[in-house]
Amino acid sequence: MQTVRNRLAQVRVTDKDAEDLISAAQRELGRAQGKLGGNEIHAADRLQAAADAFVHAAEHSLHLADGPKGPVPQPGEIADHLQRVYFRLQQADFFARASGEPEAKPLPGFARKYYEEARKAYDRGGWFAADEYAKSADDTMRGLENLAQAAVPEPPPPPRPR
Amino acid sequence: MKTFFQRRLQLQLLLILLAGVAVASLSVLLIWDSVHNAERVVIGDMGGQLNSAVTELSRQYASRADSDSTWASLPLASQDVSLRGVTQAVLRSYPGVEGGFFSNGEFVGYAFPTHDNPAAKTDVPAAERSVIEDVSRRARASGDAQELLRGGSELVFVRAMKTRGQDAVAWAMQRRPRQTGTAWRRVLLIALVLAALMSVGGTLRMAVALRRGVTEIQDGLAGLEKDFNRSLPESSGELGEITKSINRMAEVRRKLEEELRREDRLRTVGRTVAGFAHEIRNPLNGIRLSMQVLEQRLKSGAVQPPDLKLVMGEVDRMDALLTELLAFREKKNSDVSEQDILPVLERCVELVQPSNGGSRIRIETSGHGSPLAARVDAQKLTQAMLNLLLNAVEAAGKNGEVIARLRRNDEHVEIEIQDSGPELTAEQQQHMFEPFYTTKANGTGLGLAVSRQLILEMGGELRYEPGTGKKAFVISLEAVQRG
Repeated sequence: MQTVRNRLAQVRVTDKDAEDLISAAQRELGRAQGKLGGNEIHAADRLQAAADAFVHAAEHSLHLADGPKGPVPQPGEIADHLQRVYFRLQQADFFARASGEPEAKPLPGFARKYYEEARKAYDRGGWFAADEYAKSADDTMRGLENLAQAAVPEPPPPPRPR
Repeated sequence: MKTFFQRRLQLQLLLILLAGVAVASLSVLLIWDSVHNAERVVIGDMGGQLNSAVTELSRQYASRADSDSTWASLPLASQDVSLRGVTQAVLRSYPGVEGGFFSNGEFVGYAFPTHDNPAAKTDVPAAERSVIEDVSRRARASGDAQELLRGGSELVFVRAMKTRGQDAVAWAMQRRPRQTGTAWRRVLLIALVLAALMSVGGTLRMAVALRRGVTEIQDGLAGLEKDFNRSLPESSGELGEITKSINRMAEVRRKLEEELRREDRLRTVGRTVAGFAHEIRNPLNGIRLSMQVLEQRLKSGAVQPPDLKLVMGEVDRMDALLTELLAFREKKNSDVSEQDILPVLERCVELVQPSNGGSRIRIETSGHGSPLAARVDAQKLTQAMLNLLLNAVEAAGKNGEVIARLRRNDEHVEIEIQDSGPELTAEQQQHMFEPFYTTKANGTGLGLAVSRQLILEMGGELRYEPGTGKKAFVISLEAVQRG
């Protein structure tokens, strides 16, 4: 949780979507802290994982301003990634509902928006932008999935060996 | 009438055509029904859908597991949530299909996204749980497995497939209502086909019956044209009423004709009696007058033989009249035998020749070289021919000409007596054979009537031949064939 907190402190917000995602990450991190205080370890772990995913999603969109700092994936790899993201997007609403959090409702919209941007970039040959937007969409979905997992009741402890 | 029946038949043919179209349409429906609603086709369709679904589920499961190395270490409940998302995403493209995964003896990731209320369907259906588990275990062992359950009202198909590179099994299930109505629909369709066939058969039968009935009526009408005493055979079919109407019409006409004949006979009798009274009264008046003269002369004693001669003449005249009348009235026994007609005709011409008053009588014969013979009573034929020849001579007048022709006309021997006198008027032709009808001042009006009676008694015919420009009577007798 401290790692996430540090990344949150370092991140530079440049647009409204990134700002909203950072807000979501801060919110979920706070909830994770609360769960940890209540000794709900599983829920705290999933919520901090969700916060981490939202920070990553915001960071990818911010990387666009800096430009590539290493090798850019091949178009085929990006296409495969986009296909996986598209399939993941089909689960977005289910995860948002399963999380039971009203604040999670707009998050599928962010994921779709990032996917659309990735598709546009891919279509015009902007491989770096396509890769970063696809990662943002993927991380947003991962965050949603973690929120849904956090909503699952704590699994019972394994039976003690006799 | 004929047009009416033709239209009826055309209508029936149209009905047959429509029935044929109905049969064809129903057959197409039946085939369509068999092809599209056959249970095996439904099962094949279900199997195809489920195979696609479990293949996709299996692929996505592997993809999810491969994409996150930590995911496999998550608690089963967390994995369940993730996999529900996967199942939701996959099965939304498969209407009516529910499914999930079977991993480590547990069901995970169950979803039924196309259910009417997906939120209400959160767990594996209890009724089929054991079957799904059994199929999943078999799939885990052999790679894939499936099971078809045929319930009373529905088919349940379960298919499972081992995930690629993982220990889990993806499964999917679909229910479909059994086509229980198919049997009834087939029965209904078969009944409709049978009904259509019966309709065609009935129409054909009706058409045949109508055609037969029309033929019978046409034959009957043709018979009625020849003999109005005939009746059409009664029938009970559709044409029965028409047949009855025709028979009623024929009966009415028969009665009408009888009535007309009776009135005609009464008129003839009345005219005969009137003529007879007139003919008797004239000589009676003459006798009365002569007797008055005789009475006066007896008183004066000057009776002369000529005074009685006049009375005798009038009595003779009445006697002759009665003789002719009796000849007309009485039907004497005929002495019929095969006769050559030419000698009889020649004898008649000889008898008439001395009293012909100057007109010339000529005999013409035509036809075959062999003699023309008929079965006749020679006396009756002589009397009839004498009457005709005497009339002809009288009508031809001085310097006139009478031709007696003897000829063969098909099966008949004909004797034509033609004179150069004027043709009969239409009115004369109408009444010429009636007794006491005469145009002569001193005629009895019995000659032609008696002649006709005599010829009829021999089975022949006496007729007037109009349109020749001259007066001509023809005696027609059945010819005797001589080998």
